[in-house]
Amino acid sequence: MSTLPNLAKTWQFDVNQEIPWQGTTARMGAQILFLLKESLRAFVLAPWTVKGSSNGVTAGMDTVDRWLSRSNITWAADGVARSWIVLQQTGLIGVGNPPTTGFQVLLDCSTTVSSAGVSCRSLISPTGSFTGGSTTARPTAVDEQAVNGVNRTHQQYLWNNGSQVGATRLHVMQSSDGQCTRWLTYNTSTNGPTIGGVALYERISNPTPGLLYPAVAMGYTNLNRDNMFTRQAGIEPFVGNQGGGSATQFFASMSCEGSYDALLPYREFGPDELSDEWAMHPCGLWIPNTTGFRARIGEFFDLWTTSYKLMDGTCFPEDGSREFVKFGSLVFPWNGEAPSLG
Amino acid sequence: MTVPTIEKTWQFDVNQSIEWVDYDTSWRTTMFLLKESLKGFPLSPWTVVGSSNSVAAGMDGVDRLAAPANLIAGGNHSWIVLQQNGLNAGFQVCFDFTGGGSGTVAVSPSAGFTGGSIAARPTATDEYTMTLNGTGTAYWGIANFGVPFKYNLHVMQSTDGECTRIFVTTGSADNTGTIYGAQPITTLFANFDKLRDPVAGFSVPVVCSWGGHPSNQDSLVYTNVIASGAGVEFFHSRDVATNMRIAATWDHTFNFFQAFLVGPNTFTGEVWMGPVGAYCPNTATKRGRHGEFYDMWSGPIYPLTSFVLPSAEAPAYVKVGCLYLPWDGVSPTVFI
Repeated sequence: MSTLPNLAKTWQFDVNQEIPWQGTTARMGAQILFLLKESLRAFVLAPWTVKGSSNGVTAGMDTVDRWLSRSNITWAADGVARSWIVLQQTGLIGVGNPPTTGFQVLLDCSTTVSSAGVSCRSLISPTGSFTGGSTTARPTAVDEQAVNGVNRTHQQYLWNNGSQVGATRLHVMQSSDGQCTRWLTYNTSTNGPTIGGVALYERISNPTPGLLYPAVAMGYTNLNRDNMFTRQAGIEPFVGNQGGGSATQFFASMSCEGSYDALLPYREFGPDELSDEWAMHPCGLWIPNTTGFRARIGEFFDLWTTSYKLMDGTCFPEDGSREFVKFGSLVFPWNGEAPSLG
Repeated sequence: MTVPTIEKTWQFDVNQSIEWVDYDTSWRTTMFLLKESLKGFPLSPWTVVGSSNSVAAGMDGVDRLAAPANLIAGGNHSWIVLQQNGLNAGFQVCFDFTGGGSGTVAVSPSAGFTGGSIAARPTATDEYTMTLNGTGTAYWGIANFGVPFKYNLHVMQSTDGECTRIFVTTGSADNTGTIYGAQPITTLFANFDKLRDPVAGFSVPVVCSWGGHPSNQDSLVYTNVIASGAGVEFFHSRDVATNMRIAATWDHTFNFFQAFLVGPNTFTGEVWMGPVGAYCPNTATKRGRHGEFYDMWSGPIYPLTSFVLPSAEAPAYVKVGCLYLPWDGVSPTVFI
């Protein structure tokens, strides 16, 4: 492939992080969360900051990071002492206009949403309003929104528990302005390389006027077409909130170029036969069904989709420079390293 | 209103009323006015390469279609070859009026048409013919129902000659006031477009269509324009020695597109207009998404009635069928 899209952002990468088996599922999940938090805090430009945390012993929305190692991340049911953390990114929406102190993400090690270490609870607050919280209760926000739009639950999958072969790999990337953050884990399962957990926190490109908080999030366990591009009511993967409660939440789906019967990536069985190049299609964002909202609300920065025939981990261009990588049905910017999928 | 940027500058010869006298007069007038429009644009007009009026013929640069009455169908019949170098050096189209309200529209991307007589149109070594969805015949968009219908011809061309769009519309009522349909429809849509950002290796990146319907049905419905079944793709092109069928593309979610094209953005009340791509799905050795159209957009397909954007007072865009196109900004849009 020689004709590549231009990147809208510059990107920072903390990818190919190897996470060996930690002995138990709970410790494995804790190690993933710890390394994820470390990556998000450590980016040189516009890193995420800690707004508050709990290590199951002490808690507070006091900007203290109590997750100093895996052992500080403990799992328990709601109402029982456990760990949580609130991370903030002021670059995603900005600060002040619209009213926000910064886009916030809550990661809560509650076993009420799943067994210890498999998933955590995750919510966002576009207005940056998480408050309260204790060792036994997570903080809450007026505009909090569960990130798992596919299942409409708080459940943020972390990794492919139970079918892993060898190590898990964590990939974290963030634009240098803080507007876009993406992370995902891969295992080599019995079915080959498989995404176990994934989340995207995205500033919307070219947002429609009237969208006060032009941001969406997605937290799930794969990047399959059927989940990402569906418009079926009730399983749209991306979530957002316009600053209020459930009345201002919305659910959005990805879009890309298609003809009458299919998205182009699912009709493209090979490269373009005139140019011998694989196509990379930009991804749009629709609210197809949410009561009160229906619109094409914008596009993604630096996110594409391509032929489903290409394997996960395929890099573009093919000259070894690896500027882009295919994960699931999507294509991400990449840093030139050989991507490890397990 | 948030509207896309128009990349080309456009010349318009639109709202040309075709009053009903009889069927033959209507199709002759339509195609005569089309030829006159194509020849008459101030910048980069199409030029006449040759013609026949059924009495005399020649590839001699003479336009023998001096009046609608010169468009004669049958054995000895009329034809005309026009050239537009803005599309490609020597790009030509031949309109062959063999069948009254129908005939043949043949395109030669570069070789050029030769020969021809009062009994046979010229031919080209690289020619391809255009029909609506593989029906085999090109229709001029005029119905022979035995009742009086009024039509409007709209022709627009970019000043560099790279894009020409043609459409014929008719209303819901005939001249007697009898209601025949629910809304204005597009009985003919045709285009000659050089693509924007064509893929490398596309030798002559020009995509054309001739989507005329014989019986007052809408040719510009989305099920035609983005159809991607083999042989029914709306658009035509040619690469080296292979004719291609091309489908339009636009923004989709998985398995659904029409559902979210039901109305304007609920945040703004505005229509979203998205780009239209050109995709070859089925022609062996030529498959792929090969580029996109200049100044052509998709958008909500409902309401079906054509309308202008952003306002009737400043109509910079027009909805015609399922497509959105530039408009002249001044003239009222007359679709009935």
